[in-house]
Formats: sequence, C-alpha cells, structure tokens
Amino acid sequence: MKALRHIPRLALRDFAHEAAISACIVGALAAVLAPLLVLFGLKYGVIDTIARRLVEDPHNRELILVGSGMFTAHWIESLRDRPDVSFAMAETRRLSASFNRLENPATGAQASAVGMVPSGPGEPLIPSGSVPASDLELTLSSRTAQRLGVGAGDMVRAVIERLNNGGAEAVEWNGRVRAVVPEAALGGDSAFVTLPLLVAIEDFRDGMAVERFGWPGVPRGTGERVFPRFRLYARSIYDVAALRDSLFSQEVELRSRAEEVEVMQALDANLTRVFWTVAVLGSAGFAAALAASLVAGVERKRRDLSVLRLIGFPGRAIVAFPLCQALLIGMAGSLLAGVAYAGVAMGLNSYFAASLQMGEFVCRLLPEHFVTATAVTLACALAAASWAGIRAARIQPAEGLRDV
Amino acid sequence: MTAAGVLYDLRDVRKARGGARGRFRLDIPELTVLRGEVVIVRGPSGCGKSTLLDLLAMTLRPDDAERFTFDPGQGPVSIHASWRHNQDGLSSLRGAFVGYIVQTGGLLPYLSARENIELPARLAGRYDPQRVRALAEHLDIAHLLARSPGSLSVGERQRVAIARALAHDPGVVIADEPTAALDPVNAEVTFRLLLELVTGIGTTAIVATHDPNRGAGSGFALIEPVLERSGDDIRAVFSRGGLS
Repeated sequence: MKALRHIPRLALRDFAHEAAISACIVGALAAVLAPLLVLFGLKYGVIDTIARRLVEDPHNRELILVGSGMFTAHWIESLRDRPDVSFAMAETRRLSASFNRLENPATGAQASAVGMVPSGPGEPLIPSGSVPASDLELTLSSRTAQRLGVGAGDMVRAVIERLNNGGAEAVEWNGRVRAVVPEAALGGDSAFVTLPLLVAIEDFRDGMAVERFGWPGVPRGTGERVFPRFRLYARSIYDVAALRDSLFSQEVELRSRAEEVEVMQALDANLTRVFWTVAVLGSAGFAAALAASLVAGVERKRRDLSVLRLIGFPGRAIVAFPLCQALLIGMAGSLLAGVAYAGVAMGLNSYFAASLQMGEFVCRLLPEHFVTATAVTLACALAAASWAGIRAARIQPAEGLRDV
Repeated sequence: MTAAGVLYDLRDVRKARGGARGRFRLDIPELTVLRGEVVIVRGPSGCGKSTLLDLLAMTLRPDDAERFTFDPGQGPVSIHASWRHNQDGLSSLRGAFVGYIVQTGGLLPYLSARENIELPARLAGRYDPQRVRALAEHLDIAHLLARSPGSLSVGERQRVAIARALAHDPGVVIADEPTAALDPVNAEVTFRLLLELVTGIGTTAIVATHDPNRGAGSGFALIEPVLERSGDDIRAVFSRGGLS
C-alpha cells in the first residue's frame, strides 16, 4: 500500500510533463463527447418542447360536440368537476351568438356579424387577465380590434337586432374592451364575452325582455334553461380519448383531435428511434476512441512503467498509474466537453429564441445529465485503462526495459 | 567466508529465449555471490550477460531452477518460488535490496534528477538527504539535480542512474554495461566512480561489461561465460562455484 501512495503524484507529474500530448488526448475526448452532449441536449430540449406543446396546446385538448343537444347548466357544471376536464362552458344557439354590428363610438368604425364565444375562469385559450370579468366587458380578436381601431380599455357599442311580430327591433349594448388577443387564440371577427351576456342576447332575440340592460320584450318563463352546446377542454391530451369515450357512453358524441395527436406521437416515437440509433453509434464510437487513446498511451509508456517496476513498485501500482491518468483525462475531457456544449447550447437557444416560449429550450441538459455523462466517461476510461494497465503489469520488467 | 555471507546461491538455473536467428539458452550450473563482493561479468555482446543480470535482479523469470536464493542478511528467500507465488514479494525485495543500472536511460523523464534519485529511497522508506547529497557530490552531479533527465548528457544521466541505484542503501547494485553508451574517456571515469562508490560503501556489486580490458587486474571476481554454438543456437554457461 505504501508504494501506491506515490502513484497519483507520479501520474500527475507525467501528465503535466507531457502537456502537449495530454492536451491532445483531452481535446480528442472532448471533440467526441461534446457533439454527443449537444445531440442529447437537442433531444431533451426539442422533444421536451414538442411534448409540452402537445400536452399543453388547448387546441389538441378541445372536444367539439357533434350536432347539438339539450344540456342543463347543472350537467355542464358536473363536467367541470371531473378530474379529466380543465374547462367546460355552456354555449347558446349558434345563430343568436353574435352582435349584428360592433362600433367604435369615437370614430364610427364598424364591424358586422361579430361572433361571440362564452368565456370565464379557467379559459384555456387566453391568459386569465384577458378573460372578460363582467357582462359589461368583452375581449376582441385582433382582426376585429384592428377594424374598429380600438384597444384594451376602449369603449365599444354593439347593436343587437331581432325580428318581432314581423318588424325589426334593435337594442344597444355599451361595454369596455378587456383585452385584444392574437389570431391563434381567437380567429375572424369575434369576441369573448361572459355567459350572462350571451344568455341575455339569446333571450332578447327570443322576444323576451332583459331587465339588466333595459331591453323590451315579454317576461321570461321560469322553466330551467337548457343549452344546445358547450365548450369542453380535457386536462391533457392523454385525457382526450378517455373523456370522449366516457361522454359517448352518455350518448354525447364529441369530436377531438385524438387522431392527429396519435399521429404526432407516432412521429415522435420514430424520431426518437432514429435519435437513439445515432446516439448509440456515436456513444460506441466515443467509447472506442477513448479506449484506443488510453490503451495507446499505456503502450507508449511501457518502458517508463517497467522502470517503476524495476525500482520496486508492485504490479498493482503499474495498474494504478494509467488508472489515475485515465481519471484525469476523463475529468478534464468531460469538463472541456461540458464547456463546449454550454457554448453551442447557448448559441442554439438564442438563435431559435424567437420561436420559443418562456421556459422552452432547443438544447437543454440538466445537471444530472452531466453527472451521468461524466460517470459513463470515467467508467469507460477506467475500464480501458485497467485493461491496458493489467497488460502492462503482466510484462516482466526486464522485457519492458529491453523492448526499445 | 561462511555460508552466512552468501547473497546469491544458484544451482541449475535455466532461461531460454527464442529469437529470429535461433534459440538462446542460458545455463547456470552453479553460481554464488557473497555479500560485499564486487563481481565483474565479462563477455561479448549477445553472450547472455543482460539475461543473467535480469535473473539476479529479479526482473526476469527463470524457466527452471534447482535452487535460486537471495539473502540480503535476513535469511534466504527462494526467488524461483516467489516468481510462482509471490510476485509482489519480489517487487518488495527489488525495492528494498536491489539497485539496478541499465545500459541507457531508465530514468523517469517526468521527474527531476533529484526526484529520480530519491524515488527508490522514499519507496523503501530509507530516504536520507545527506546520503543523496554525498552521492551527488561524489558523482559530480550536485549541480544537475534540479534538471530533468532530458536536458542531461548521456554520461550525466548514467551518473544520476548510479546515484539512484545507491540512494536507498541496497544490498546489491546490479549494473548492466553502465558505460556502454559513453565515449571511452567518460566510460572510464564513470566505471571507476561506480567501483569506488560500491567498494567505499561496501555494497555488493555485479557489473557486466563487454570490454575485455575492463576489470582486468582490479582484483575483483570475474565471471566469464562458456559459449557453445550449434548452428544458429547458442548455449551460454555461467558458472562460479567452489567458494569456501
């Protein structure tokens, strides 16, 4: 054991003495490891981003009623309570769910036939701050806002018409623009409104009076209101198929993007397969290159190792010498590869920054990935070096010394 | 001399080596070296001097041996048995009791001359800075100790190697043509320095040389092989017995 104590210092001295060769070996190791890290980083970053978008994209979680039905507010609320549902909202008849005209009172700019979509807390398509909070607010699509020349906080006037007893009647509704949301969230000429406003407009079109807004008509009956449609979003894409099947058993037929999601998942699986083929080949090449350089190093040092034996170092010290150097090379190579990876990843992430959302990365590795990569590198290095070291230790010292 | 003073005791030791130009066989019917003796092994190149020295330095395994013991003063150890069962024990023996000087090189290029000299002494747990300084001064290398072997001349390196072989106060110094790579003047000086040192310290030394004039008239014991050629095969017989 006493002899082994000297080995790390000697191995380090030799490593430093051959600084140029050591740098080449470390550089060669990093040159193979760094692209592998980038490859894994891309896999983890891009695939993670795609998966999260798949899971989180509300369009992929949406279920659309086929045809129409009769649903009570209570039944729709019971949907909202299901663990596999993130958002459920009653909708009125499609025909009554629009403003005949929307105007900017300041300029007179108009948009006609503006569709209304009921919204409320938990709305998946827009941020919660953009959701109209009362029946005196609406949230406009960017196209409608542009047409009217209004923005958040501006007042708009709506005209709602009905045919009553053979004549046309119209009422006005004045409200504030809560927010303007992008095309991706709400397309065409349309607006998010609260369900009470939508219900009031449906009542008015049905000839009833709406006290809240002073709209004339016959008093509303006391029977429970039923809705013909509803908006429904599952909690994740993985809940979509089960939710659809569950409601189908209640004779509610829904359409979803489950098929598209499945196609995307299959594509992802195939890409993953291709990735692993490249990664396994790359890793095998890396292990072979590392082993080759370490074995070559030990062969090159055979004479010096024989000198150590001649002086009286035991065989296990001759094995320990290349092991110490393999550890040094492995750690330095991993560190250098990590630095190179960090630079490339930073470049990739900033290059693609425009197409990324908050918290998304093109190229990304967690600390535990680096720990794993270093551990695998060291394990390969130690295995190769101990094989070469054992070979060197088996040679009789005299043979190693004379072999020049 | 008594049997207690025997350092090496070899009986019927054999080592064969195959070569491209025929087989070489070394036979040692009987060979004894006493503690404190200086023995010159003299013979032409290729006669098996290095093989004999490697066997004695425990760096080469004999094919067969009737008896092969080494006794640095603590009781005989069977080298032949150690090769079979206890190679780490051989490393320890080598580290503690043998100082080996090879023809050229043999120094670790990544250590300074001083560190090269000190390493065996530190390994053996017998590091003595005064001894290192005395050896360096005697060999006229005290001013070179901080330098790396790569920056020294061949002669200087050999003198560093001699200092290293003696730094741990070994039981025996084995020198395999230590001056073969030097010019005649340097060779003469270095050879003389080596012999002065070992005789001065009283260390056993076994020194090989191909120079027929080397060691002549020095009063040192001489071993010369008897060579038998048969076609391309060579048989070298080293024998030195009958000590009493």
